[in-house]
Amino acid sequence: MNDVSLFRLYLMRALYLLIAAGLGATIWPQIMGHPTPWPLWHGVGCSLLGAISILAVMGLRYPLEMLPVLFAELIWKAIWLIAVALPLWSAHNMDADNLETAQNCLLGIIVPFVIPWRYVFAHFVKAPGDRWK
Amino acid sequence: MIATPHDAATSETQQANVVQEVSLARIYVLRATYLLLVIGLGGMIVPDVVSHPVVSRGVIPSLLGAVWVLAFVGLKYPLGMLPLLMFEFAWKSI
Repeated sequence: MNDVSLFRLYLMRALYLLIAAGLGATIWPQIMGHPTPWPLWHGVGCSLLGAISILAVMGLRYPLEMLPVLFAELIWKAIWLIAVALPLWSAHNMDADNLETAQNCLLGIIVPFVIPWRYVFAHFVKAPGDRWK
Repeated sequence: MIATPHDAATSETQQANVVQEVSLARIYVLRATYLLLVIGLGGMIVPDVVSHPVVSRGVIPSLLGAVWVLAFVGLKYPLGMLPLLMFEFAWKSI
C-alpha cells in the first residue's frame, strides 16, 4: 500500500468527506422527511445517493478499498453529461433543473485528479484477477 | 508501515491468507452477482441511456449505468469491487 503517498490518501479522504457532507446535507433530510407516498423515481434516486454517502463515510477510513465509489461517481457524471446534458445544450433546451445538475456533474472534474491512477492500473488492470480455480 | 523486507513478506503472507479465506465458491457467487448486474442493468438501463427522450432528467439511469460498467470490472476482481455490492445492498435497504 505504500505506492500511494500519504498526501494522496488524505486528498482522497477529503473528497469522500466532501461527498458525504454534500449528500448528507441535501439527500438525507429528504430521505428522513419524505412524503408518503414517495414518487418512485424520487425515492429511488435519493436511496441511490444515500447509499453513496454511506460508502463515502467508509472511504474516510479505507480510501483505497472504497475506490469503486469514486469510479462510480466519475462514470455516472460522465454518462449524464454526455447522454443528457450535451443533447439538451446542443438543442438549446437546457432548463434550470438540468443546468443545476450539469453544474454539479461538472464539479466531478476533480475526481480524476484525486484518483491514484497508477495504483488503479496496478490493482484493477494489470493485476491478475481473483482466483478462477 | 512496512519498514523491512521481512515486514513486507509478512504483510504479503497475511494478505494472501486473508484472500485464501474467501472460498472459491464464494468468489464465483460474487462473480455471478456481478454478471446478474451486467445482464439485468444491461437490459433495463443501457437502452434508456443510449436512446432516451431528450427532456428526461436521467440521473438515475446514469448512476445505474455506472454500476453496469463497474459490474464488468467485478467479473475479474470480485473482491476489489465489493463496494459495488455494498452499494446495491445499501440503496435497496434505504
